[in-house]
Amino acid sequence: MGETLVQKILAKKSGKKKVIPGEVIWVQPDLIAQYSITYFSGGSTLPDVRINPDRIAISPDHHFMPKGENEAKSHATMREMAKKYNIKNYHDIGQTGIQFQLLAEKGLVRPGMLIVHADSHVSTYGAFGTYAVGVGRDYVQAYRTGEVWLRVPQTLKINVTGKFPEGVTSRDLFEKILADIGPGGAIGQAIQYTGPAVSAMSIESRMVLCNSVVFMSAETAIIEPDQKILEYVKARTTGTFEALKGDASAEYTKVLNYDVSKLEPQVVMPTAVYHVKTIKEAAGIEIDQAFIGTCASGRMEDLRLAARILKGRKIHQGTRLVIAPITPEIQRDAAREGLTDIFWEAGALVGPPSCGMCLQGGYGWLLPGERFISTGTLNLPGRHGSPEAQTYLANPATVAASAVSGKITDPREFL
Amino acid sequence: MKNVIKGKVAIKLGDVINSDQMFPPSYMWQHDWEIKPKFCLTNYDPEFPERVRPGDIIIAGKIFGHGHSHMDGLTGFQKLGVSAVTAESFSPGWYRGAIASGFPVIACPGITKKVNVGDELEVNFKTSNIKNLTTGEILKAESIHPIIREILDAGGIAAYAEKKVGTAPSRYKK
Repeated sequence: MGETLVQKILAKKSGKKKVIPGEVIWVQPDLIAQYSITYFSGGSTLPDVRINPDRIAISPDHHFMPKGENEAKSHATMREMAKKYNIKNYHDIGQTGIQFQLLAEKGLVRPGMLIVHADSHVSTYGAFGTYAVGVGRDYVQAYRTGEVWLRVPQTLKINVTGKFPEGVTSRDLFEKILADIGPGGAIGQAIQYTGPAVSAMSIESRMVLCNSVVFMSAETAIIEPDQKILEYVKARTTGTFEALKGDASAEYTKVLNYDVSKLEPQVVMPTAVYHVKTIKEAAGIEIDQAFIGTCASGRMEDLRLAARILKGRKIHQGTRLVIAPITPEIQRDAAREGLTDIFWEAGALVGPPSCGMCLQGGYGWLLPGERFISTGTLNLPGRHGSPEAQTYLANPATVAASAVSGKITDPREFL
Repeated sequence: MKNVIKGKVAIKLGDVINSDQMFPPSYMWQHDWEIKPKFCLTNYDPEFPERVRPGDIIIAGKIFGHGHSHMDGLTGFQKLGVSAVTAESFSPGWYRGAIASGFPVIACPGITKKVNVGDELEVNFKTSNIKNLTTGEILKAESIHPIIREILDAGGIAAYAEKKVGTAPSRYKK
């Protein structure tokens, strides 16, 4: 029997010839990435680092600026850590944005790598043929001994065909799959996306597709690297890598088939990420606040899509729209392309690159009864302020169209 | 860690308990651990923090700890003296977080149908047998991998790493 891409990467990183799904192994991650928020809950203790500092990447990420003493201390601890251990992959305020884009821009994400992070949204990097997995607090051990334990997952294959209709994105496909298979639909497994519609996707769309598989209880997601990935990576780094691929005879737990040709924009309803409806069912709900950004959006094609809708239009009076490009590089490119001008003309606030309003304890506190539509990751009650506020999640076109109308709106009306 | 944990079932939770919903949403922002444990799981059972006694066990349904690997709930359980959690299944991130904290967790498919609040359980982490002392029934839980057991025995990932590193000085220490 052949091996999956996941098995091949994990065998290499564990120093074994072959690993079997279900097996628990020790692995050596190539990159241990972290953001400041993980320091401040445990005080401002400087972690003990005994590994090659080039294997570590840190940046403030969640808080573009500290807004209180705890956050300021967590930033300071991180700075001290970078200095003490000579960590060159350290990006401070002004250079960071969100790590689940930044590290790829810096050439730190390459096919065949193993990347660990406290945050499961690191699965975004599966788009590069990388095994990228959330390990919670175990990064503390990785800093000290260079290793973490992992359970070798089985792989669930999702084959995608067809052409995305106008106003429908890879995010909608993700929501549809989550709605179909449910919150435990991929429990303990790696999801491997494949098929002509995945090959046709931009790297950015693939990242969005991989971003939130934690909500299917998956370990992570992965896509076999192709020419697009190799070109992106080679343009950004001279670092070595091996573009591993799975065997044709590899075994999968299941193969799911999706044709996106008739897919519609999806809307995640309060108060759980797996409460998904189509735009037709959700349209008409009045909204107070809208946000385009986060690790699940805020990339160039998201911003271009939003700009197509916002161009020549104004945000509905009484509704506020915030747009946060994901990294400084994307913010720069959006400005050069004239997208920022379109956002300003429409009356949107263009925020600094950061998790912004998606973050628990972030910005844009909602009052009881207020409704929020966002390209963010999570919509639990209380996450964005009052537990009596409601958060809806949708693709950037739907969020932009909704901000223009002041109610949840099918973006295809404006495209 | 002890091979056998005996305790009374303090609460039986349903499926898909989100890691961020082990406290009511208005306590999501509360980080004062003197106050916070008093609200642990109160959105599911307002009396739970009052009723739970040190050594008690929590039973839950499928995908316990769904979503982000936030471990506030676990800290709450520890502060209240809960001795173990056994669920039909765990979200992988929450399971890992519990192991990293040296906290005994064990998956036991079917447990919510065989165990009720108030039952006395004997959870054997070596044989993976869970005996309901109230009904006499024995349930088969999923076995704990030796590597995971080693981390639990050390008392969590920080202590485990400390042991593995030994007393060798960090090469970056001043």
